[in-house]
Amino acid sequence: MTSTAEQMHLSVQNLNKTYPRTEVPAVSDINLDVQQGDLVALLGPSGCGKTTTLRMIAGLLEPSAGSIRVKGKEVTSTPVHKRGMGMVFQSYALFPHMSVLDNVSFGLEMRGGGRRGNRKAAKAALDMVQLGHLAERRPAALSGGQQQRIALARALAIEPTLLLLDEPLSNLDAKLREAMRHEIRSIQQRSGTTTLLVTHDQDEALDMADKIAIMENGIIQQYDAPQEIYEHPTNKFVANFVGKANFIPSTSVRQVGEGRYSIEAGAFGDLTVPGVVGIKGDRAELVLRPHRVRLMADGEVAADRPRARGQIIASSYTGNVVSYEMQSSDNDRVIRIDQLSHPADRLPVGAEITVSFDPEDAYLVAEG
Amino acid sequence: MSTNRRLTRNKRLLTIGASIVAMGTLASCASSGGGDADGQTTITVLGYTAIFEDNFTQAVIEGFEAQHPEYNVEYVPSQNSAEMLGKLRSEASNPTVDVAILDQSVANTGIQEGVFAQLDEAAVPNLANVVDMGLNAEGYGPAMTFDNLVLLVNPEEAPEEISSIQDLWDAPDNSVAIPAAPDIQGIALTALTANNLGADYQEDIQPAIDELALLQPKVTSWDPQPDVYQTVTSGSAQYAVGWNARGQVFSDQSDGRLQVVQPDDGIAFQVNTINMVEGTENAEGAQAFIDYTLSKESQESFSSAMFYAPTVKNAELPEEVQARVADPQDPNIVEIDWIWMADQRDAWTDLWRRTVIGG
Amino acid sequence: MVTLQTTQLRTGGLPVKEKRSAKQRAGTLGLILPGSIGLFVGFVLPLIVMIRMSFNQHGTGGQLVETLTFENYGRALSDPFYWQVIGNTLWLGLLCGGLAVILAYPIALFLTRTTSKWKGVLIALAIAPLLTSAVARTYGWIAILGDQGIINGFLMDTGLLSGPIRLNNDMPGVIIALVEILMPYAILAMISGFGRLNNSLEEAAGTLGASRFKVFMRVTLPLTLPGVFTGFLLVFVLSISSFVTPRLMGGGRVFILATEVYNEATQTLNWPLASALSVILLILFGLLVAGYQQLTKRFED
Ligand SMILES: Nc1ncnc2c1ncn2[C@@H]1O[C@H](COP(=O)(O)OP(=O)(O)O)[C@@H](O)[C@H]1O
Ligand SMILES: [Mg+2]
Repeated sequence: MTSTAEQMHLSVQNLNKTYPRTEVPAVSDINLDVQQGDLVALLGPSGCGKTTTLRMIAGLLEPSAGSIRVKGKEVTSTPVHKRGMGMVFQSYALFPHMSVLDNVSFGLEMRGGGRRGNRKAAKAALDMVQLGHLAERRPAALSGGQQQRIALARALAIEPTLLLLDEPLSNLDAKLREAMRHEIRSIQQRSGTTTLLVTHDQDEALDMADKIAIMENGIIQQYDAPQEIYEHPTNKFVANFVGKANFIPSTSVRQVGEGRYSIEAGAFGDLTVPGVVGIKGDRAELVLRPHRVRLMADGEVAADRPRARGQIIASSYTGNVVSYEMQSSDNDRVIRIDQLSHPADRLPVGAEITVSFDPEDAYLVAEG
Repeated sequence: MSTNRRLTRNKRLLTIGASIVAMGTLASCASSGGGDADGQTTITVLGYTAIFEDNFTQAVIEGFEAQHPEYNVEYVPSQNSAEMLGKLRSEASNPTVDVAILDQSVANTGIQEGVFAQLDEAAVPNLANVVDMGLNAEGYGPAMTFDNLVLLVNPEEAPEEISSIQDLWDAPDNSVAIPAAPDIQGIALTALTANNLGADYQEDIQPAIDELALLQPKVTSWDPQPDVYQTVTSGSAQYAVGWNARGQVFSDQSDGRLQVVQPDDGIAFQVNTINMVEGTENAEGAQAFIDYTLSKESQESFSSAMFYAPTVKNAELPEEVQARVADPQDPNIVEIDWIWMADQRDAWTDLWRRTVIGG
Repeated sequence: MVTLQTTQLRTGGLPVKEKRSAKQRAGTLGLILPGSIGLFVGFVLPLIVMIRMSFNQHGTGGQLVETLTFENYGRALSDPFYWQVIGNTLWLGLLCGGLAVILAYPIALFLTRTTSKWKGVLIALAIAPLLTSAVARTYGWIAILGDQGIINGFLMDTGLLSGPIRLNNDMPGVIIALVEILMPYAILAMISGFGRLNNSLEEAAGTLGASRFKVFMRVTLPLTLPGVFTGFLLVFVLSISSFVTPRLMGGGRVFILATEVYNEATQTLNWPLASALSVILLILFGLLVAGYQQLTKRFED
């Protein structure tokens, strides 16, 4: 543990927080190692302890237990103003009584240095977010997206050891949010700043992060690369929270190799599938992403694929995708199917269909 | 967004605070009202508030009403003479007051402004008994009470007994309370001081002012609150100058904490006159009331209650009362021309501020 | 007419809208009318009477003579005593405003920030003194500051003092009592003026490397200044127009415009001069307040 901790840019160990006058810990036993230059997302539903974790790392909140190290140096009891971390608040927290330029050069000023040098550096930070021309404005005279970028420039201007972003995009409209994702990501990569991003938006996390930590009730459920999280969720919560999933109840679960199981998956019959290592008992659930379910053409034969028949009970159209809900003929499950849409192919409700999937695309997790 | 919410919350708190203030203000506003008795003619009398009102009602008004069942007296209390004149001025065209009892010099201002009416000698037969000093040459309201400036002492707190005005200059620092000019107690003290210096206060007041300035370190308050009598009784001051009548009344209530001393180096009289208001619709009742206040019976009864010296020759006081009331024949009397004084008050007040208090 | 025109412009000149706006105007008028009548009867009318009175003459024997003369203003403004009085009044206002703001600031800051569920109760407590009349509270201070009062008593009992020091019956007592009496107003004004203050702004400054002191100087203080200005102005105005406390605690040594006006009006009976002094008070401090607001407005932008 210690040797990795020393290589890591940020290493959080057994971090705990119980707020005064509360019983349940807001955060328990958080362990998180972040490599130099990475962007790590803390992803979880509202109230799961993301902000609490971030604030402890920033030094705004005292942990109940645990340690935080930056570049191998213990900072757990370092006061906030000496941690040198840049933070972007959900509300941006721009100083309303200062101009944009003064906002951005504030952190530099606090570090001393000449006024002219500071202003030049601040100007450069503003140019980086392409808002150099707004330097003399007051924050109140800017749009939400502009304020967001100023807040980012302000946090980056101090060349922080760590950039902390708390739901930075949640106050922006959908279109702008997507654009800002890429902008933030590209600025982060260009500057090489190690970054911790708090979000409850899985798309944002998947899109931006090098690694994602999925949190639930103050606990990290899985910490992995986005693809791993999506393809190989360690439990039902993660599978459910990230992306859409069908859960097919499976019985007669038997391990047949490292992370491989033979199961009986309801209407789909007996299968051999990959899964989480070490599932105990003979019941489990099979995660099947809706877009990995295939609609079979009439008369198509694919002997080696599991299949099930059923009737479409609902369909919805979202432009590029048509989603169907199928009631399988043995009546035990509704299965969701996402098809890349083509208007001519859309099936009516009530149509009888047959679906199949590649067992290697499914993933077995323990019962939730 | 959270800023906004906080803003509205703070606004709400401000509103709550403001309404609390408003409630407090409302609560402190006293309401007043009056009713009319039927079948009787009401005489409205304006006079001093507090113990004057209490004693005057018991010792004079009740006797008058018993003697004249056709009249009903309504007493309107006021803080001081100036406030009374202010009220009379403001309702000069439509007076609600029939009779006013107030300080002579203020009354004189009112006479000049035409606020008061001359009396009909026939309607006020007791005028004939009023001492010369109490009569108005032009037939306006006569003196109803004489009072005089006295020394007040708290015997429990005061280190030494005093017997004269001059003794104040020997008092310890911060021990004396003096109602400074423009209060007429300060004005009267100035005249007595001039007299002690052998000067005529109408000719040159500067020596007296300079002498009074020497009192500065001795004085704890130049504006004793709520009044000079409570200030001495409570021990906030050990010595003071004040009026005899109130001093005597409060002395009786003070458990020995307030003693009245008639100064042996000068007696200065203060005069309250009783006046009929010009334009009253009830001149007959007003003059009947004035006449009653000048009767032997009323003068004796009010003097016994409040220790004012009677203003009529035929009043005879019980010995124990007589001993506590200054005699208009006292050889130590320093006559003060309050009419002349009315014009000097501003100038003297200036001198007090510049030299006596400020010095 | 002007309002109508602008409404027309804004709504594209639709006659239907015009009718509604007339109705709205009537509603607005109905809402402001009772207050305006109250203001007129209770303030404007007496003010007119007072201004008229200030041009009358104070004749011999205290007689009130109706004329038109500037004599009273001449007297008030040429007499150094009244300049002294104006100076005293100004000094009292500045000192009380300054002290009240300094003392109330930490309290207001705490009350704004606290997340305690007792917040409402605490704020009510802070302004509860306003439920007691200023007279009662002034007598409370007399009991504390008098020669026989708690403070002098303690100092003499412990032998720190051989004789009482004069706390009451002079300017210091008046200032102490006024500051305490007016502090709740300062607290209220500040709490309502601290709206721009926000926890995350101070935290942001901290993450940017500002120490607690720097956070206060660079963020907290500038953001709370509008509230401070309002609190100061309120206490300043209330002190310069205060009467009860200076009168009860001044011991006849504190000469300010309010006590002077009272003396002239009720002792010397010089109503014209009292009115002239009041008008001077009104103009002088009206100008001061206007200038102050101009200044603070410029500062806030
Ligand atoms: N100051 C606080 N006092 C008490 N409980 C808190 C405080 N702040 C947050 N919490 C609680 O801690 C838990 C985690 O909160 P938070 O870290 O803000 O969640 P997230 O940022 O993931 O939405 C929540 O249950 C929340 O109610
Ligand atoms: Mg949060």
